[in-house]
Amino acid sequence: MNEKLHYTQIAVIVYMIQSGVILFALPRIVAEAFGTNGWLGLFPLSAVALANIVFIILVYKKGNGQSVFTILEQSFPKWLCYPIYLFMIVSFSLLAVLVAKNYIILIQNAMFPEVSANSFLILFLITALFFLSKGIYNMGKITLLFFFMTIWTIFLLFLLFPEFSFTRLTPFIFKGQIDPFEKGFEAYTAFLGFELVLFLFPYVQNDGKFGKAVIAGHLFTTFIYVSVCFVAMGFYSFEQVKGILYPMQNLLKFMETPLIERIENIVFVIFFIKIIVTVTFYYWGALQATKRIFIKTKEKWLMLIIVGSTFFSSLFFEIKREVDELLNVIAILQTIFSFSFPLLLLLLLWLQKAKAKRGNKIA
Amino acid sequence: MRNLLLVVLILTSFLLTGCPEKKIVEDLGFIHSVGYELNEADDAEEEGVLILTVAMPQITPTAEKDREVLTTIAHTSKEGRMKLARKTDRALVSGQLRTALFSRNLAEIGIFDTMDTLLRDHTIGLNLKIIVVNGSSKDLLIGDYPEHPRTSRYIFELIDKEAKTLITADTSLHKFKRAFHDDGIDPIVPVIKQGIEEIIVDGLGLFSGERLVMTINPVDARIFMMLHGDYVGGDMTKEMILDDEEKESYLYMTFTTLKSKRKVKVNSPSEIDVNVEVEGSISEYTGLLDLSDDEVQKEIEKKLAANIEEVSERLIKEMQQKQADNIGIGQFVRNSSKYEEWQEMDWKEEIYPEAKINVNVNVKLRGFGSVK
Repeated sequence: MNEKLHYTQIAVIVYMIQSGVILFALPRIVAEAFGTNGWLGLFPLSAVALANIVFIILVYKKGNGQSVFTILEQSFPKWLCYPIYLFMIVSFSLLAVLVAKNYIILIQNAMFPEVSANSFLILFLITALFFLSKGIYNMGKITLLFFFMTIWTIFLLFLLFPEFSFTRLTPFIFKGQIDPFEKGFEAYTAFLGFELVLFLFPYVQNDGKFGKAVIAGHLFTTFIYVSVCFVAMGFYSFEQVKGILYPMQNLLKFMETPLIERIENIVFVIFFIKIIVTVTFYYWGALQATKRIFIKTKEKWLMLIIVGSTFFSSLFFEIKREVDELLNVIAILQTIFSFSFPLLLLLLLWLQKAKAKRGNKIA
Repeated sequence: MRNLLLVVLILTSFLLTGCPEKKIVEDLGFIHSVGYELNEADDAEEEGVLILTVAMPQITPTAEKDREVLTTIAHTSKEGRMKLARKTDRALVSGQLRTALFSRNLAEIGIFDTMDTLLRDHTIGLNLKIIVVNGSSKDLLIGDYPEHPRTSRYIFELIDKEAKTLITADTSLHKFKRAFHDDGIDPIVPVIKQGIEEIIVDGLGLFSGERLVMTINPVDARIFMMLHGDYVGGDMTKEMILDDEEKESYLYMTFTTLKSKRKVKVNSPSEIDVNVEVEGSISEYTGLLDLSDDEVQKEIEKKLAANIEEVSERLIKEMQQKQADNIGIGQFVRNSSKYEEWQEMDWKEEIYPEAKINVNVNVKLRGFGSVK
């Protein structure tokens, strides 16, 4: 019997890819984007992402679980597919390395200002490489394990309850200076990552629960984001949260437990586990596309080349500002991709069906 | 072969992580307390306007004192730290910073610039206590307190304990910053002063924005806290003459474990009711009446309520004059008005100083001790 990904694994994978380092900044971003009670703004954003996910699920259903590459190659000649693959490879692998670098710069600035970020990055990428080399089924299992290793951190929010106040939350909804497009987009990027399930089609158990699992994973991410932002906005005063670069990191700085005084350093390191899932899965997406171009080359070498070359290209971006700028550009491309690619696939599937019907008639 | 490679990799990453940035505890000076004071000398502009004092625990076994105190004059906090570093053989680090003391003269002109350093530095925790010193923070940190050799720890514990009895407030860096940025409330901080051989908690300091504008003595502080929020704890001693009392002089009554609940009702932005429910029991009475008598109890409740109302109104009046909304009435006015109205309203400077704030106190006596 062939091994397949279980639907709970799919849900967990979606959540783990989506939530990342942006969680640290999210309360500020929603406050800047939507003003007072900005956490409510996450619901429409989540709905937009959900609509996108529905397209993806439709592709899965209409295509009967065929791989997206098969759908593509059935309609287009190979030379037309290559630019699309190339785009996927570049944007996925760059996104992977930049997410990793972003996290590392954050940690390094806060905790090890004297250590070079690149040596951290090498260690990070070596771990990611080992993770990646295990193949998708084992990656699914590892992700599930990592999920349980990190999820408990959400309960730390309870430590903040004594400092939470509805009076501070104010009854105003979306007031004050707002910037729903630019900053709202930044908040939307927090949901990105779900598009990678497009490549999971051939590996999932065909029991009809795939769609539900993806949606469940996405809703869980939404739940985590909303609860973090809600608590943060009742914990900080409105102008204060806008002035803090990483409100979530600051929240952790405030927490005290009877045994550990400064809990944030532990949580920071635990976040590594979350980030590595995101990074590895983006590399995996890039790898899938690469395999389509270089069919004969061994997978091991492809992995090494992708990870190695992205590491070297990341050397051009050394400080946070530069990384952020590039990440922003890629996030825009990624958003466009995640909307348009499923639509393209749906169109192709429809054409293929129409063609097949016509073929049947003639015969 | 592959496994061996993995083992080598893991081992090197473990071993090499110890290499950069060696920090040996004996070589570090963990700053526990930092004191900021305004330099009022004539050459302050050139030399620096800030007198910076830091106290850290001493670990050299042969040293006579338990702590090391350094002081200097500088333009900014971090410049001062570099100057201080030249005076000690240990590397100064602020990860263990627990208390920041601001002299009154500095607090009165504003402490936000100094506060910025504390917030910007990642190593400093958010639970750092902000304290105002009635006097000089330099003298207070340098001073000798024979019974309490580690001054910084002493101050920390003192504030921690007194905040529980509500003589003063426990204001962390986070709480200060939060109230500072909130448009409906102003920060409060604990105030301490130097005694002869001890440090004394001296009530509460009220800020308007970043400036200290008034202080409340420890006796009135508990009543202020009744207006500030819901708290449990604290005692209060009042002179109290009851109607049927035969004894004529020296009549005092102490109420203990006071429990207060506050409700703010906004009738209109310029008319606000503050309703306070107080519960407490009597732990000391120097008169002769029988406290178990219901009528006597009711009278005490009424008199105490009247007294609390009187003090509250005096405090609120002073706060209104100083344009300091430290009990957070603005928050309630904000939440009961429309957003645009609130934005147009110049709450702190126009409405609040003129607003009619009524305090209604309702006292309930829970008990009167084990004596009938």
